[in-house]
Amino acid sequence: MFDPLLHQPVRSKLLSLLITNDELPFKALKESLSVTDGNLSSHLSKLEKEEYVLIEKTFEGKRPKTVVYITPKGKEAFSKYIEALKKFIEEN
Amino acid sequence: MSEKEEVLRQISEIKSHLVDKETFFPYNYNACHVWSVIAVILTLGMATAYEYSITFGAVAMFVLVSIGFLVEGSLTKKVNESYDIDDCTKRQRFIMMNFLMITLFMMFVSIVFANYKLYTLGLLSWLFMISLGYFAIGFVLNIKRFTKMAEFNMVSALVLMAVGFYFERLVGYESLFYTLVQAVVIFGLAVVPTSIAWHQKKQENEAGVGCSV
Repeated sequence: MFDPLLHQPVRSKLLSLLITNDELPFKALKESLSVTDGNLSSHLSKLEKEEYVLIEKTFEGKRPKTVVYITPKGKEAFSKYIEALKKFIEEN
Repeated sequence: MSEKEEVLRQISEIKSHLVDKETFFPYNYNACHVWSVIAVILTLGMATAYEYSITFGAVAMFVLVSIGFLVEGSLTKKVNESYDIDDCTKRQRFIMMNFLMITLFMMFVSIVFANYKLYTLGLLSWLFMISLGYFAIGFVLNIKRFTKMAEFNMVSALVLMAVGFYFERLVGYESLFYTLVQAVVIFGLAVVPTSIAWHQKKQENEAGVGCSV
């Protein structure tokens, strides 16, 4: 019924942040979600595998920079997930 | 927890995360400490500098204020880099522009006042105008401590202006009244903002919102 990838607290909050902002640095996501680096990386990998997000790793000088983007597929999946949540509440 | 409750909780959490990044990106409150130091130097030395010569006073003020903006800029850049933000946020831009406009206006007003040796009036005008800036910031960014401080400072400035005008104490810088005004300005523009910045920084760190380095 619900997209199993999004019906998980951290991943749904992560997509909520990205849907409002299109792209966010890794550190901003980590602090907003109050999760560890490893935990966030694990959730991002799952979302990236399904092409819901795009992770861009670059270097600014010697400093690594990671930015996460939401893809059109991710936006559509999030929209469908919200619709599914609404429908469930209406029917119950 | 029933499935419905679970879904409602999920919706509530999603709603609370549908926020613009501007709301959680940082402001470096250390800049407030730098401005407090500059406020103390200007309050104690402004009249002497202007007495030496108007040009010297104006240049000294310009240099100090420029140092303030440069330090604030570099602190902001540093905190933004730690968040991988290339540009400054709307929040940071608003704070910077607000104080930049007020400061430029007050530098001009100070030169006019210094021409007539209205040093007490000059200090009180700074207190009023900078507090107006803090009021705008407190109101727009919902930092109640800044709003309250600004209200107190503005009322103090107006009361002291009225007292100074009534007792003809707005000219010169050797009266006891001038020393009292200096103390009020240092308290209002240095001691209290530093204390508020410390509290804000602590509060944001505890809440995990934003970051001040």
